[in-house]
Amino acid sequence: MSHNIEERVNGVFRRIFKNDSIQVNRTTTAQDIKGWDSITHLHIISGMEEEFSVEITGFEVMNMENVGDLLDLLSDKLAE
Amino acid sequence: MVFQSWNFILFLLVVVVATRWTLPQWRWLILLIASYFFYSLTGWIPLLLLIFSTLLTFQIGKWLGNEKDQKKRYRILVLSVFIQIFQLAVFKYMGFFESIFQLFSSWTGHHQHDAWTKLILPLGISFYTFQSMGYVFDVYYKIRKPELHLGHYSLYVSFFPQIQSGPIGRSKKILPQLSSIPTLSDDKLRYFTMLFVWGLMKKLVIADRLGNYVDPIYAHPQGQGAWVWSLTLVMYTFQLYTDFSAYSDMARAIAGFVGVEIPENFMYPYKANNITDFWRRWHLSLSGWLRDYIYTPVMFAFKKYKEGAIVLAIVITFLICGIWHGPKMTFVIFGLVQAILLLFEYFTKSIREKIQSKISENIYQRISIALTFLVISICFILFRAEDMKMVSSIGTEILNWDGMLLKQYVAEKNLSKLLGIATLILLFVVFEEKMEQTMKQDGLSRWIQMLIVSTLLILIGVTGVLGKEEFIYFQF
Repeated sequence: MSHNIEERVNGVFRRIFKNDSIQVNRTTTAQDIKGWDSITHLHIISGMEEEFSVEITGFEVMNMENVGDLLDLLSDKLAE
Repeated sequence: MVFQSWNFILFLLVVVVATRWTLPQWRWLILLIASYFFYSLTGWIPLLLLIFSTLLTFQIGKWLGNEKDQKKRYRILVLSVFIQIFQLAVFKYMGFFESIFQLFSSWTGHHQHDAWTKLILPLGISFYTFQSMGYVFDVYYKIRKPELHLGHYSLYVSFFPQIQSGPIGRSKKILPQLSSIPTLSDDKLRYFTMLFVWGLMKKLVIADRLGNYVDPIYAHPQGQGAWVWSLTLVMYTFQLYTDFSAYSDMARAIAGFVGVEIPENFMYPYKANNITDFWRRWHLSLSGWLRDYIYTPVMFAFKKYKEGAIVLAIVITFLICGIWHGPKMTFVIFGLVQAILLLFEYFTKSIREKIQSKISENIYQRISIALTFLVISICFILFRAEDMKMVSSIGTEILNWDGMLLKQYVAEKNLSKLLGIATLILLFVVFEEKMEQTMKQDGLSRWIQMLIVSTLLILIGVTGVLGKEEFIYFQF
């Protein structure tokens, strides 16, 4: 299940950055991917919302430090 | 008490010695006493206001930590922000509101008294308000737990190296350092000494010298012509940067001397290749604060409007950025202009990328850096001018390309002195990054460190401009 989430999250990243070689992991942060700025962050979150049919609030976004936090949040939301 | 005064050096020596003689877990107390003493020199009312702000946000943090109901937590946050903004508005912006009231009253024939404008402006109020407000946001967003030690928190808000003009610290980085403040290692002592002297050199040799050329032109903006104004705009752009980055380097060094690490404030802003890039390099502690606590929450609150959310977030953020600098219309317009420029860059990104792909990367980068510098230099007119009337008269002057005015200026100022200034700026541009990176190197030989410090001190002794005291950012 979590492996599947990771793959789908990675797919969203590849789509947003238009780069098929991107491979994110739990420790990946905005510093690790060129072009991951605040506007791209908005596109990533919107992309995740569409992919997983969930809603991510601004409050939840503020707590994210890396892709691991995003994966945990998505897992929690999908388990609800 | 400014950093480059003998009184301050003496004060710092006493504090450094006292902290060394104290156990790491009690050093916060020495630093808190020193910080309150330092701030009390500006007056008792500002000190009481600082203590009020500290107690308020400390208590708010505890309430936010104890409250589980998200709606109640939100109300507590709004209350805290409202009180802090109100406090800032009363002491910093009332004159601005009054000038608007007076404008209306002059139309209606009513007379207003000027009691509000006589209120003192507490030093550093914008900085410590944002620093303590940042802590409240961090607790609200659960980025950190509430601080339970009032002494540590009071020091976080009032820490003397930062309180006058930042850098605005973040609770997650600074508060954990205060419970047990380490003894300074010899390596760090030498690094912070170099950093302090480097900042001193930037202030006394470059910034204050440039100020001697910039100030008279801004005092008499008319009849100078476009050539003189162009030179002045370039000089002010460097003056502002060297002055503020000098202060920031010295603040970091002073904090370092007493064992606390505070953030860097600049990342070579005039190497930015667009305005977006510039704001990622300029006044990092403020731009980071605005990004995390204004821009991101606004953008995500309105994310369903897609690009509308981005437009709204940029406009609100930069309006606040402008107003934060002071109660003047010039700052409001400055913020708006920045927002317009950023939005222009956002909406032309794909066109610019197409142009970039058609010409040499090197040439594109150089042209981009030069254009960004030009735009920033022009925008800084709004930053330096007293009011919009002055901005408009400078605008008129910039259309007058009369070469005679330049000849007169060169004759008056002395060509060799102007060439000296140009050389100084050029040397600074070429060597700044190299110098700062060298100072940061681990294992840098003591001889090189001594050479750096002694060369900088000789430069200050021989060519430093003495007598000017205040840093530009003290007014904010």
